[in-house]
Amino acid sequence: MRYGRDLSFIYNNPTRIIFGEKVVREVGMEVDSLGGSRALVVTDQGVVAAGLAETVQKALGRRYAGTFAGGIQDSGLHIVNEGAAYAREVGADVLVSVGGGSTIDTAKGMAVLLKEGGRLQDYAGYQLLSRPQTPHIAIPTTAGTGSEVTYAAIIKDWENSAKILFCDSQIIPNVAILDPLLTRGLPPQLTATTGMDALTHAVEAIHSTEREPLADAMALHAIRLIMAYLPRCVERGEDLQARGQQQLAATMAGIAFNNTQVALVHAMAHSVGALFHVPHGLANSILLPHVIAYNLEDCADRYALIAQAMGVAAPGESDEEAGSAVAEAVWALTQKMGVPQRLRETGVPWEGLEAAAHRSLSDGSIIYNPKPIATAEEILSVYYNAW
Amino acid sequence: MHYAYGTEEWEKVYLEMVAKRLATASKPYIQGSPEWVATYEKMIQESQEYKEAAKGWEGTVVIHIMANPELGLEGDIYQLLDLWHGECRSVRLVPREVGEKADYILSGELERWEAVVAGDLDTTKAMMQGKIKLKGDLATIVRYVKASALLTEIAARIETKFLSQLSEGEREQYRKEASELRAEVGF
Repeated sequence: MRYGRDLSFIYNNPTRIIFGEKVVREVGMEVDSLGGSRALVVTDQGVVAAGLAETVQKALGRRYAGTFAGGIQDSGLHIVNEGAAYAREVGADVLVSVGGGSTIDTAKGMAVLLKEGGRLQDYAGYQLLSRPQTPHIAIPTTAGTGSEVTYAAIIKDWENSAKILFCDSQIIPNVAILDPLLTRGLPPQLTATTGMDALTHAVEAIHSTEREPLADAMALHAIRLIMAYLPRCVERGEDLQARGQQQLAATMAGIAFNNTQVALVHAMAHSVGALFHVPHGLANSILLPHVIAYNLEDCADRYALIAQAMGVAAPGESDEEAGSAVAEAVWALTQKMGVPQRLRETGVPWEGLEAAAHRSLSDGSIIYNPKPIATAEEILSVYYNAW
Repeated sequence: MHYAYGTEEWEKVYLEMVAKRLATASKPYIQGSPEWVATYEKMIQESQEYKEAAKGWEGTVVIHIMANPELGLEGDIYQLLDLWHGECRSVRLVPREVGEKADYILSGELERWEAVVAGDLDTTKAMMQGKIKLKGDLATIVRYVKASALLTEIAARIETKFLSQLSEGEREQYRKEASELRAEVGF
């Protein structure tokens, strides 16, 4: 291992994070701090119906320029274009996204179009932007994606049925406002699966080939918080302390993987999501223990760290045994929360696994898996186990 | 007056220029020079491992080295790798207008590319950290991550003299030759 090539890293965490009950009220002052005067709320119809967009609107006061509620689960280029056109029409100079990962990603895309113009697909790739984009405040209403602190956005090209990945430090939101009041209305199943998304981010950040100590610290504490508070959030949605700690865990896991990337679990989850519409958090949740088992021989020492954070490490056990304990602990957690544990329970057909395996080979996350993967057959074996 | 890239005349002039330089230039070659690029081409073409890893690959790749006048690089360098199903059909230095049309463009400062060729910087990590920018369809390129890594490894095997290592006299000579090449073949 050499410092120049293997041990060196850049830790990037530019987002200002504001946490606490009722801190959504701070949004207006944050707009001022960013030098803006007209803020557009970017959200979806569900968030509007829940009254959360209105809460943000009130907090923005005179700075409120309008609401674009076109967000959907798999955001598309046409939606980003439509949102950017509306933002121009109302003269918005700050974007305030209120919603889940897809809504925050929509706002990331809009921020680019407002600043750079042209077509969003021209910016697909790695780190192509060279200047700060339109200021963006992210207010997540789920606790899992971590999109409020990450440099990635996935936008679907609906015409060509392709997902376009944008990875750029310039699209990391400037501010993240984490208010537990905004997540307390999440139903138990959604709380559990989005929470498992956060756990997957943390585990993948730790086993990624790009792992580094600062991200480890974030990810390991995220794991501790998730193990302690996610079941409480599922059992008692009104428990604001648990909701808040889970929010912090999701953001910390987001910071971790933003610096180290995710790996095979995500590559496989993206594939069954695209082909069979399995919700992302649920797919991650099912696949996570199987990928841990698959990777075990290559990075058992990493799983031993995770076992400690999860509280399942036993004195004197080997790293491999600790890794197996991690997989078991993930199953125990999902069982406790009533989350499906098999792909067959989510509508994925056995005969569709091969296509999913081939698709996973084209997913950017796969290159960061600790156990190198060269063929679809290797992935297929994991899918078979998870089915 | 230089010929237009892609024409037979351009290719003829280019290959003659490379042959002449290979016959006279002393090793180690300067990174990004025509003789360095020709060596790179030959090594990729001779790599069985690359052929195997890049079996299904289709598309052109450009390595874009950004100008650094202080170190003697007055203009950007575009190295165009014409790769097809495991074959390296050619590696050429090309004008900007040609380089910018490649299927995949990897852009970075001169010092970043020096670190890559020296084996001190991993390209995957460099892309993630924004040290090297990638334009192109990620879904395709990740299927050939081993082939991409081999291209980097092959470059690192070339005995190379870096622009940052040149003496002032050598740098001045490099500037002069680069200016002549721009006039002759358009890069």
